[in-house]
Parts: sequence; C-alpha cells; structure tokens
Amino acid sequence: MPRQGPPLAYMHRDEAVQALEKLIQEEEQLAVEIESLLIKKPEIQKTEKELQEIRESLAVLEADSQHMTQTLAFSAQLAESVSGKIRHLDRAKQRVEESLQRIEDILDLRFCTEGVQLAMQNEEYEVAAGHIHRFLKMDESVLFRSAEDMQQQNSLQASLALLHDAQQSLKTIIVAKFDEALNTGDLANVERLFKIFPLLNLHDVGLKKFCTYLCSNIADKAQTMLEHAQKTLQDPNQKKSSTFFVELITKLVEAVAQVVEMYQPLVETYYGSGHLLHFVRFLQTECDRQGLKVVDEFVKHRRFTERARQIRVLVRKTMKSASGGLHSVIDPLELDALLVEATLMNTRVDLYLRFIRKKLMSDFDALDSTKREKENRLKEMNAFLSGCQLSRTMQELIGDYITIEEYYMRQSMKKAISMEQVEEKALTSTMVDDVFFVVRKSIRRALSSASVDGICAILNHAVSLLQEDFADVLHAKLKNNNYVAYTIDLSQAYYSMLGTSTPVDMNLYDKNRKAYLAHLNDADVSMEYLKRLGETLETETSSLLPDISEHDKEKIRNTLQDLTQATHAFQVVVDFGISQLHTAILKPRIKPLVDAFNSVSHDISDEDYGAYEAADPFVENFVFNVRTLLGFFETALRKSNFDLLVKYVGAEIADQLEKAVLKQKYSRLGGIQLDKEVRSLLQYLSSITSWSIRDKFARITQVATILNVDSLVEFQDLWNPSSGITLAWRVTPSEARQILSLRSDFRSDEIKRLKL
Amino acid sequence: MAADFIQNITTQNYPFKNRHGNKGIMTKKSTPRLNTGADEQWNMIRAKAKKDRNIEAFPRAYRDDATPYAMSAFSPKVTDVCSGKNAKLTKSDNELNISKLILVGDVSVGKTSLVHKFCHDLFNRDYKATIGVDFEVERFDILDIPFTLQIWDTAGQERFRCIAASYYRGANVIVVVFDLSDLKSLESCKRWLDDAADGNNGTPYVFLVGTKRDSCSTDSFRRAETKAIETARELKAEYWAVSAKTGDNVQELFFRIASMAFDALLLREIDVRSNAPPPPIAPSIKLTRRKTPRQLALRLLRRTKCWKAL
Ligand SMILES: Nc1nc2c(ncn2[C@@H]2O[C@H](COP(=O)(O)OP(=O)(O)OP(=O)(O)O)[C@@H](O)[C@H]2O)c(=O)[nH]1
Ligand SMILES: [Mg+2]
Repeated sequence: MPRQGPPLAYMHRDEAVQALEKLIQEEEQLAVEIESLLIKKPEIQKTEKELQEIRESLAVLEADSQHMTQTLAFSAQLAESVSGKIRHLDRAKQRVEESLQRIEDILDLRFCTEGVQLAMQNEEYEVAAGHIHRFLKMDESVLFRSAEDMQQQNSLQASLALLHDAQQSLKTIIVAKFDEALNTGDLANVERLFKIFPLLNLHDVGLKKFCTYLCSNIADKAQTMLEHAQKTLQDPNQKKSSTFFVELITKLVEAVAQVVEMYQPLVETYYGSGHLLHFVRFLQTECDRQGLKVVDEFVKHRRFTERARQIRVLVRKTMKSASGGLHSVIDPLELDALLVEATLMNTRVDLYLRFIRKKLMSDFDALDSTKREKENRLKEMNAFLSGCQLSRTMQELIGDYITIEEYYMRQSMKKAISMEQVEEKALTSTMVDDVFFVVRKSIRRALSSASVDGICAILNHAVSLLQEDFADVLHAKLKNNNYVAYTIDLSQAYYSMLGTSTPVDMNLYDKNRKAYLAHLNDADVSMEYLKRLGETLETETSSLLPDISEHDKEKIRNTLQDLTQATHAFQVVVDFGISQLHTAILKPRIKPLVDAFNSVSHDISDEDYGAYEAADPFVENFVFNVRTLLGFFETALRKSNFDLLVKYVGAEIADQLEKAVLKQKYSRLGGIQLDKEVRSLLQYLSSITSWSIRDKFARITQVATILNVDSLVEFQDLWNPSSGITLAWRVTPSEARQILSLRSDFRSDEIKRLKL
Repeated sequence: MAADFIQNITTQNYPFKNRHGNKGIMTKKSTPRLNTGADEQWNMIRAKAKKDRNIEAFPRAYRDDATPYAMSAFSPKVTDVCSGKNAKLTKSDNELNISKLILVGDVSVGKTSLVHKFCHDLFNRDYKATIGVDFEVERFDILDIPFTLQIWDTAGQERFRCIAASYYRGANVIVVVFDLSDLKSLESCKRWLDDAADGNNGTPYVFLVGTKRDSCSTDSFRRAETKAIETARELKAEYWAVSAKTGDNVQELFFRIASMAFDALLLREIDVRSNAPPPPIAPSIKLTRRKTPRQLALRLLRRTKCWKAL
C-alpha cells in the first residue's frame, strides 16, 4: 500500500498518532476479514466432501452409459436386419399378387375364350359381352409376358385372336340386332341391347343409336301433335283456348322430359356417370327442332312478331313527329291474352330447362371429380342450356314480349288517364287505381314468365311510365287547373257583386276544385301504392322464383329499388300542388285574420285582463276562423296531404302573427295574454296534424316568452341561465332588445345595458 | 298434364322404376339439389369502398379535344356540400347516392371484359357471350362521400336489344363501346345511341369507348382514333381508347365517369333541396280600388257563407 501523507522524517507527532491510529484500524479490519474466512472453512470442507461423492457416482454412471450404448448399437443392428427382411417380404408379396393376377387373367382368358364361344353359339349376348368386357380389362402385353414365361405363346395367340374375332362379330351382331329392335320398336330388346354397348367400350355408338331412335320417337309424337293442332286452328267450329300454344309447347317439352326421366337411370347405371350431358344433348337437338316449329306456329298464328314490329314502327313514328298522340292502331285489350300466352310459354320452357339442369347436376355430383373439372362441366352445361336453339328462340320471344307489354302498359295507362272520373265521395280519382292496376298486372305477368331479364325490363319500363306518363301528367293537370286562379276571381266577383263582372260558373268551379284536390290525393296515394307494390313484388319474387341465382336476385332487388325510388316524382307533384294551394288560396285569407290581432290592445291593466279572461278578444275567434278555413280541406284531402298543408298554414300564421306582435306595446299582463294566445294557437294547430308544427312556431313562441318576463333580471337569467344550459334561441340579441323595448314597463336605457 | 310434369320435376321420382320393376337399374340415388348458376360466387355490394376507389381530384378527359364535357373540377356547390360548409348531407342522402351506367355495343366488342377488368381486375381471353344483362355494383368514396355506381352490361346480340332498350330511360351514363380493331363496330354506334335517344328523357352523359387498343398497330390505331373522334363529335359523346387486356385507361375511364355522375347527382340533390318548396305562383289579387284590402278582408271574414265556396 503506498504510503500517503508526508514522509516519516517530517512527521509531527500528531500526524504520527494519526497514522498509527489508521494502521491500528487497518489491522482490526484485517483481523475481522481473517475471522470471517476462517468461519467459512468447515463449510468449504463439506462441499469438498460432497464433490468427492459426486465424482464417485459419476464414474458409475459412465460405466452404465457405456453399457447402454453397446446395447443400443446392437438393437439397431437387429432392427436394420429385420426391416430389410420385411422389405424383402413386401416385394415378394407384391410379386405373388402379380403372379396371382396373371394366373387369374390367364384362367379368365381361357374361361372367357370358352365362354364367349359358347355364349355366341347360344346367342347369349349379354354373357358374351360380359366375357369380352372382362377381356378388355386385361393388359395384353402382360398376358404376353406370362405366356412367354410359361412358353405358351401359341395358345395365347390363338385365344386372343379368338376373342378379338368374337368382339368384332359381337359388335356387328349387336349393332344389327339393335338396329332391328329399334326399327321394329321392340322395346324390351332395345333396352337389353343398349346395355351391351358399354361392355364393348362402345358407349358413343350405343348412345348415338339409341338417341337417334328416341329422337325419331319424339319427332313422330310432335308431328302428330302439330298436325292435330293445325287442324284445330283451322277449324272455325273448334273452340280454341287462349292458351292453346302453351298447352302445345308443354306437351312437347313434357314428352322430352319424360324420355329423359325414363332413360336417365339406364344411362347412368350402364354407361356410368358423366354420360348424361351427351345423352341430353342428342335429345335436345330434336326438342329444339320441334320447339321451333311450335313457336313458329305461335308467332305466325298470333301475329306475335309482326305486332311487335308494328309497335316499334309506331312508337318510332310518334317519337319523331313528337305530336304525342299515339293513336292506337292496336287495341291493348287485344294484346292481353297474347301476352299471357307468351309468358306462360316461356314459363313452361324454363321449367323444362330447369328440370334438365337438375338432372345434369345430380349426374355431375355422382362423379368424384376435382373442383376445376366440376367447374368446367358446369360451364359446359350452362353454355349448352342457355345456348340451345330452344333457349334462343324463347329469348327472342321475350324480346318481342317486352316491346308489346310496354306498349300495352303505356296505352292502358293513357286510357285510364283519359277515362278519369272523380266520384262523389272518393278522395282520389279513378285513374290512380286504374293506372296502378295496369302496372301491377303487367309486372305480375312479367314475373310469371320466370325470365329474370324480362322481369327487370318490364320493371324498368314501369318506372319510366309511372314517372313520365303518370307523375308528369298529374303535375301538368295541377298546373293547368283553373281552380286556383278561379278562386281569386270568385272573391273578386263577390266584392263587385253589384258591379258589372260576368257571372261565375259555379259548376265548373266546383268541378275544377274537386279535380285539383283529387289529383293531389292521387299523387299522395301513388307513393303509398309504389311502396306497397315494391314490397309485395319482393316477396312474390322469392316465392315465384325460388331457385334463381344470388346474382339474379340482386338484379331484381336493385331494379325493384328503382320502383320505390319513383316515389320522388310524386313527392314533387305533392309539394308543388300543396304549396300552390296554400299560396293562392289560404295565404291571402290568413293575413286579414291576423289583422284582427291589431285591434286587440296588449298594453292592458288588471281590469282589461279580467275582461279578456271573461270574453276572449282574439284567439278563440281566430281559431274558429282558421278551422272554418281548413275544415273543407280536412275532409277533401288525404291525411298526409292535409298535414303538409297545415304545415304551410302554420308557418304562415306564425310569420304573420310575429309581424303583428312586433307592432304592439305590452304591459306585464299583456305579455301573459300574448303567451297564452300563442300557446293556444299552437295547441290547436298541433291537434289537427300528426306532424310537429312546433318547429314552425319556434320563433313566435320565443318572442312571446321574451315579452312574458317578469323583469329584465328574469330575462337576463333566461338568456344566460346560471345553469349554463341556454335555449336554442332563434332570436338574435339585437332582436331580443327590440322585443323587450315593446314592454311599456321596461326602461330603454336598462335594456341597452343588458349584456347579451 | 302440366301439373304432372311439374310434379315430376320437383320430386325426383323415376316413373321408369314403377313401369319396369327393374330394380337393378335403380342402384343410384340422386339427391335433390337446388338449381344454382355457375356464376354464383357473386361479389355483391361492399359495405365500404375498396382502398383504391377513393377519388379526391376530378379526373381529366382522355383527350380534351374529344369531349363535349369541359368539366375539369367538381362544381363549387358540390365541394361545399362535401366539405360540410353549407347544408350538410344527411345520412339518408348518402344512402341514395346511386347512379346507373349502361353499356351497349355490338357483339364481342369487349363490354363485359371492360367491366370485369375494372371490377375484378381480371381479363379472360375466351369469349363468353352475355345473356340478357349482366350486373355489377362498384362502391366509391368521392370527396369522402360514399357513392355507388350500378353497372348494367347488356348483351350485343340482336335478340337482347329490347332488354337493353329498357335500361336507357333510367340511365345516368350511357357507354357505347366499339372495337378499335374492327371499325364496323364503330359504325353501329350511332344506331345503338339512336335507340337510347328514343328512350332517355333526361340528359345522360354519353361516352364512346374504343376497346382492344392493345391489338392495334400504331398505324391502324391512329386511323381508328381519327374516325372515332369524328363519330364522337357527331354523337356528342366523350371519346376514350382503352384495353381490357393491359388495363390501359380502364380505371381512368371509370373514375371519370363516376366523378361526373357523382357531381351531377349531387347538384340535382342540392337543387331539389333549395327549390323546395317550389316557387309559388304570385297571388294576383286585384282588388277594387274603392276599399283597402284590409277592409275587404274584414268584410269577407264576417260573411262566413263565402268560406264554403273556397
Ligand atoms: N386483345 C384484347 N382482347 C379483348 C379486349 N377486350 C375484350 N377482348 C376479347 O374480346 C372478346 C369479347 O369480349 P366480351 O367482353 O365478352 O365482349 P362483349 O362486348 O361483352 O360481347 P357480348 O356480351 O356478346 O355483347 C373476348 O374474347 C375478349 O377476350 C382487349 O382489350 N384486348
Ligand atoms: Mg358481354
């Protein structure tokens, strides 16, 4: 340890004592340290002993583990040799199996060879075909190898030749017999032989021949049907149903469906799954051919396409000339039955195609194929179903149907509008019910066709027609109605009764008023009808078209939405009509009523107030007059229309009254009086409408509240309440001051001093 | 008879079994199954627009010299409303922000491919003719307001023309499509649009879109474009050249369409709101000069008999 402080020689005593003390301290410290080390000694000794013990047991462990390693190595060796043997055994077993298969094949081959000969001799074709089928499953090259091993090539060759011969001759015989059975219509044999083709790996030949036969059957049946139908059509004495062609096409597709139903199990069982599409395709060619004939007959006999074309020309012409008056060359009534027939024809074909689809799908399901294969099959099937001639023909038919249905709807609507009547007690005119009847009918008919695109198209047309040909018509009718202008004339006439003005035609006036209000109600009820129509159609769609795809559902749903959206067009009409009614007829009457307020002083004494209480000076009479004014409309308008009108009137009253209120002076009691008046007015108006009128009265209510304060202090608290929750004031601070100044008992300098 | 037939279809029994008693054939049972279309996995209306369907800035036309629509920005009124400056749009307003687009044009010019590329970012080389009408819904967020574009993709085949025609009147946007590599299809565009003009009462935006730009040589493309622009002028339509295969201009086109439709839709809504109640007709009361209106009214008041003749 380096010595600190000055060298000894220069040390003072004190310093030396200090150094000594330090040294003594150090010594003591060291002694303590040594002590503590010594205390630890027995412990260390103990640990040492323990370590010794561990070392001994480790030695034992080492010996044990060495032993174990040896054992494991031995086991491994053993296992290896065992598994090698097992591998060997596996291989041997496989070979044995192969050999057995070969032996079996060879035995079978002999058995087949002998069996075929015998069966052919006995004309047991199924048995013979069974043998051939077994033979076709054998691998000829393997057979040869076995024969080589056994040095039996010659006998094998002979057998094979024999079997090939037998296969050939069996094929010829079966084909010939099948043809014969088909020609003679020997059904039992047809079915018997049909099963043999797949045994000979002749699936396509069998299917083709069989289908050709079935097609000719269908063709014969259809021919008879058509000939009979033509005879019926030409015979003027025969009663013909209006769904004649529906029945005809139903009979045809039913016949085809029956064939599919009947032979599908046969095809599936003996030809295996996945052959049905092939089978159906064959049959469909005939179904297409015959279906086309039926539709052609329909188109010709009912002049379907011709009428569609006529209509298109007609529509185009009127569009061009823009005269608007599409004078009906074709009576819509005449089209009614025709449209029903066309849609039902489509329904039946759609039903048939759905049936075929179902059959094909279950056939696909039976196959265990990958997802991709399945998708491809589905794609192929869909292309087949929507692309077959019958589908295409029906798509064309639906196209013409849309044209005719739209024309029907438009014309019937025009007719309904032109034949409009307002019956004595009815709120609405007849035309609104008639128009919606037509629209509903057309949409329902489209729905029954089961053609999703047809349905959407008719819905689209219905929406445009309702908007353009109906809502716009109502709008125009309201605009051109003389009632509004006339009422003003009438009051004029009344005033100048003694003057020289021409007498008023009260009948015409009455008629106009009735029509005006009825049309307002028409527009209002149309919105209701539209909503209801949308809802019912939505449920009807899901019940009538239960298994259309999600995509198609979405299409219809979106189109239906447009139908409900068409309510906007009618809302515009209602808004226009009500506001015009208000502006021209009610508004001018309200001002003079409010004027009565001016002659009632509100700067009143106790005595006056008492007198007012005894005999109401203003509001009772006012309410009575407003009630008289509105009374007629309450009975002549639909509730929602009347509510809207009251809203306008309420706003007008509030507006006018506010102006009048601001022209008067108020005592404290006058403020109370005014508040009472405003409240009872609001109460009355609220009682006659289901809408809240409070909003329209917000300002005037607040004006009354301000005029009804006890003192400016109270007002201050009202304006800036200590609770911190302020009213939603519609009155600005400067307006508030102005209102307060109407109180005769408030001093203007105090009002000025208010902090707002 | 018909009822029988329906019965047969709905319950899958085999009359064959009963008639022939051949049980061996009957080993296979088919489970009844709902009729489902192939294109069933449908990606319908999404709750929220996809990330890349946000539009902030108004997209430009393909060529400024080939459009009758000079707009290059959202209308001030619309931006005001969207930023909530003036009357804010209520929630129910937003739910109604739907515009309808309809595509027409000759067979196999590439209508379906164009829509598919935009909606699903897929292109299929194989042609599969559209039957009737196809339908897609695309959600956008334009200026942070949700907007839905309904896309009705009609079939070009003649027999579906009537179906297509029914969509014209309600359409906000009409896209007439032709094939840049087949100028015959450009010639038919006028006929397609004539059908539309018969129908539509409003004024839809019209686009003339040439597809398959990728399959044109530079030269033939230039020639086609000159002709197309001429036609576009004649039809008063905005011209675009796109490729569904490479995706060239596809998104740009639809973004422009969506923005224009959105702008028009909102303008209309704003108009409707500011116009309600509609302008009142002036009450043209011309009273006789002898008395003040007030006096007259008071007299009128007293004669309640007159009220009945309102
Ligand atoms: N090279 C190229 N081929 C395209 C393009 N767009 C479409 N095609 C091909 O053109 C063919 C027809 O495309 P669709 O989109 O089905 O045609 P479409 O107009 O919908 O036809 P319809 O539904 O029958 O009216 C398909 O084979 C597409 O692969 C394109 O931009 N480039
Ligand atoms: Mg298409």
